[in-house]
Amino acid sequence: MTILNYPNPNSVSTAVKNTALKYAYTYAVQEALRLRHNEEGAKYRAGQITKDEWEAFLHNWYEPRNATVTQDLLELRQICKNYVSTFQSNIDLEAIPI
Amino acid sequence: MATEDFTTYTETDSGSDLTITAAKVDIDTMATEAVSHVVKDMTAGHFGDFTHLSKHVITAFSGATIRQTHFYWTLCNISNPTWAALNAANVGLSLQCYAWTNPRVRLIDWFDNATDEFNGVAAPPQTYYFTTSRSGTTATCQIYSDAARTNLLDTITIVCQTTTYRYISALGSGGFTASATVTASNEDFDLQEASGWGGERCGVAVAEVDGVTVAEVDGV
Repeated sequence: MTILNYPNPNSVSTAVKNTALKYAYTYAVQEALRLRHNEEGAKYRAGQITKDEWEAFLHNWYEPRNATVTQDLLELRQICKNYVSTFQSNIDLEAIPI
Repeated sequence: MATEDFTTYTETDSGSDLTITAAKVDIDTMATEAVSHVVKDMTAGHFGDFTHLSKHVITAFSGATIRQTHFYWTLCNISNPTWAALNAANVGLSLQCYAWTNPRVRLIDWFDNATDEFNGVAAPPQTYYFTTSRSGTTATCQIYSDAARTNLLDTITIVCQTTTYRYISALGSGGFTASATVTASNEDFDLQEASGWGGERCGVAVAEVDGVTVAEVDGV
């Protein structure tokens, strides 16, 4: 990662690196939730589960989990935005290695 | 729930690109620089938290490497919600289509330009079904490929303002020069609201005025 190592890797705090990893992880969790949603959706379309079972899956299983993941994503995004505001005025575009 | 009747909306169509029928706004090669919108005044403060359903078809756009934009859906407090007007007003919540190779979906709060995006599954034609909601400071759009909403393409979400909104827009153009056009339709808006002013329970129209619930029975 060229940018994160520039100009001084020590200037990027561990907390921020951890936030980035959590952000990536949470997106992966949301993607897994999406795929799980679509597996159940395919079963409903194929007549393998009833409408009541599909709706129960949405209301009792999918939506509560998705709401939790969504809130985590928003919190992590806010941490990243707050971090940006701390260094934005010091960005030197001419110094980016090319 | 009944879908919105777009013939009751107010249409502005600077390029004669729009055809409005009850459940559908057809857009025929509308230029990004058009000043066009299809809006309904729901009265001040109408939209707080909500869940809206809608369908959107992107048939074609020109200038795929040039910025084409229009709006699938907007809640705002101005009566002329083009991109240019919303960008100037800085108040509103929109689902914006902007076309690169694939028709993308951007959820944006105009107050601080908080955005999240879905980058599109493929080139047009594409049909998307949206479930757009706000709960407090969280706005979310779930994007599906089917009307039954069983195949979820993506969920986009932002931290949003809790501002209440007056107008709903079923179409907004760019209002800026971009040498690009779009052919599309916005359809089947279901606001999932009870019929009648302020709600209806057991056939009795009910509203809340200054925190006091009042009912109107047989016009009294």
